Amino acid sequence: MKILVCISKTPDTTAKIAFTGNNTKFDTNGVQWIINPYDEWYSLVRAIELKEKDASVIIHLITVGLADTEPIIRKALALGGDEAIRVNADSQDSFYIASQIAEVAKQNSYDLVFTGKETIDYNGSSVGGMVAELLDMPYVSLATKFELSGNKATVNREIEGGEEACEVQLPLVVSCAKGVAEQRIPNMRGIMAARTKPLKVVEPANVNALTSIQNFDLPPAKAGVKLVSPDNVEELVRLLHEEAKVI
Amino acid sequence: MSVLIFIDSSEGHVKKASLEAISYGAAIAKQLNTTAEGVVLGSATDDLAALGKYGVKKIHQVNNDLLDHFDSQVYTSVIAQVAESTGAKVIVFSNNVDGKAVAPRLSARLKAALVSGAVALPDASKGFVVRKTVFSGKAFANISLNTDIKIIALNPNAYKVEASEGTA
Repeated sequence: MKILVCISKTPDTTAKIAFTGNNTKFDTNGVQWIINPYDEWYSLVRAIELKEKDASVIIHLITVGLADTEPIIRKALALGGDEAIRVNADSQDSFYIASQIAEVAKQNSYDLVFTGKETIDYNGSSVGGMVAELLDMPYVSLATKFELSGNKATVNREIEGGEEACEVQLPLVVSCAKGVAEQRIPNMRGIMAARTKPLKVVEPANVNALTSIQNFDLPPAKAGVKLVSPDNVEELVRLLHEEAKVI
Repeated sequence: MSVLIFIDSSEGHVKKASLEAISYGAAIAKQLNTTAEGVVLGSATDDLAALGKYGVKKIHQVNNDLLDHFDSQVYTSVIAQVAESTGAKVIVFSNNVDGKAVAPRLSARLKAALVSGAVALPDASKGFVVRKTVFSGKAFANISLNTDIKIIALNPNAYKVEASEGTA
């Protein structure tokens, strides 16, 4: 059993969101980078749990990024996984990333490909579906539970107002959401072991992105709070009627 | 050339998010001076012709027992065939659970640019630029779709359902 876990580098959830270059680029000054939480907490940890049950399971991690993504992939290796692959390219859009992952996956015949349900920066929720299509594999999105029995997976996925359980034959692509696994913290042994685990760097396939970012902008700042004196009910009614337009 | 809207249903009933997608797709069709068509997969108990009041002019219903259960691989294949037969240049989904599974697959199959999580109508003045939320709603990105066929997955509650007279 070979599992490929897709890892993305994203800004920390508390990072200040600002842009440079006439609002065409994310301002990375002072930004702390982390493993995309959905990739780390759910898909990677679930893959590790499968390996803990069956030692013959092999876990490969993959990321698409330049050399500055290596600390992130090393951190992922500290949690678990046997080796990592970095596609040496700046990520451009979802299709570009998915195509690079699919190229690597085609050469290694994985039984399972795990992604997080989305990245917390571009919120695309697209790479898993694209990889599945490029590999001609079934795809279960937004999985909340994943169990494996031989060559068959039982997966719960989010649906409107509930969950749906489905059985799928491997090979399979799954995007993992909350519930699939519980977050873990790398231990010292894992951190030390990660230093010597193989990290292979491969050059990207020749693929064109299908989209480009024109620019970013921030939502308008929230208006300040208006304080109204308790004895000035008429003013409160006027504000609710004329400004908030709720009455 | 038309705008094709995936009309998502559950147990035969059209989902509310699909009504938003229809209204949104119909508005794009108006922008592009073309017509909006819908595609429904599987059996439907709702009156599909009545969806015309949201702006869709024609409904393609593909009825097969296999389509009564959601499978992103099968749905993608069927929608791709309908898109090809109608010559659709813009394909609209709701960015709901099913849309998130099918729209990316369709994008990879057709090599069509995808914006998921759209919150506004496309700006055709600078090509075809669609606004979406990024950084978990802390910012917006304006994304240019650079292919002949374009796919948009509209965030639920991002576009008002607009009803008028008419049948499909």
